[in-house]
Amino acid sequence: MKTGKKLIALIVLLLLAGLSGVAHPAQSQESVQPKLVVFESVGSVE
Amino acid sequence: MINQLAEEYADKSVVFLDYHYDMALDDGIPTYFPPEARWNVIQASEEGLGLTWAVVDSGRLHHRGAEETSVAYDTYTEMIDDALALPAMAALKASWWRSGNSVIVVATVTNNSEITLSPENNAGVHAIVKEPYAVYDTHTTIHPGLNGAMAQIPDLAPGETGTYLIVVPDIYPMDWEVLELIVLVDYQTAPGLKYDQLQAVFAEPVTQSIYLPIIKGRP
Repeated sequence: MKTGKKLIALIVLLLLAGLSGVAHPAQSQESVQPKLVVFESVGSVE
Repeated sequence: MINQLAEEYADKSVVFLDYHYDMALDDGIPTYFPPEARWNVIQASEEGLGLTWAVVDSGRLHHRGAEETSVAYDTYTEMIDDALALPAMAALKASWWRSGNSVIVVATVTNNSEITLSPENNAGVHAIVKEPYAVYDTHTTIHPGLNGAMAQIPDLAPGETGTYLIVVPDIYPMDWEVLELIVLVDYQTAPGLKYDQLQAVFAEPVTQSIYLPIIKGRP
């Protein structure tokens, strides 16, 4: 019985974690957006 | 030489922008007219004038006065590689569309740095119009930046997201169809010191009409 309650509690926690965006793929993708390097110049040598 | 560099970095996440610099004058004195907002940022890397001038990360690294190709090549390569090795400190999305001879840009920035972006550190979102592979007498490479403009960031704390509208006026390209819009976010590291860049992206062109709401303010 105790094991069953623990299992239910674990499932509820996992569901809540999913809904609250604890492991939100879109957010993690945004945080690793690749950097674009901008090289700016005025005049140049041949 | 910068054209050659651009070819060598074609498969990397690097964009080259070359601003107005015209040698074709009777008196032999070159003129240079970078977009004012970008020139202010470039100038913060080092006072004075010493063309040629190159910066990455809004002047975090810079080099000016290169007269030998080998010096320029080695230095610029080192600067670019250094910048590539650093992570982006903001997430950035942007869209643009044409309005007459202007370009309108909407950019959304998520500040992933530990710095609050505000007028106190001259934080801004810049949009720069590029016409790749166009040859102009007024530019020394085939990566001409035609014009640019900036929206000041009023207040964006770490973790916050803000959306900004930028209008870049006076765009007269050879071909509107090939234009690229580079949007970047930067700030000044301390009063009188260099700027640093958090992130940059190519803005996506909007192909459908957008109707902005008309908001009437009180007189």
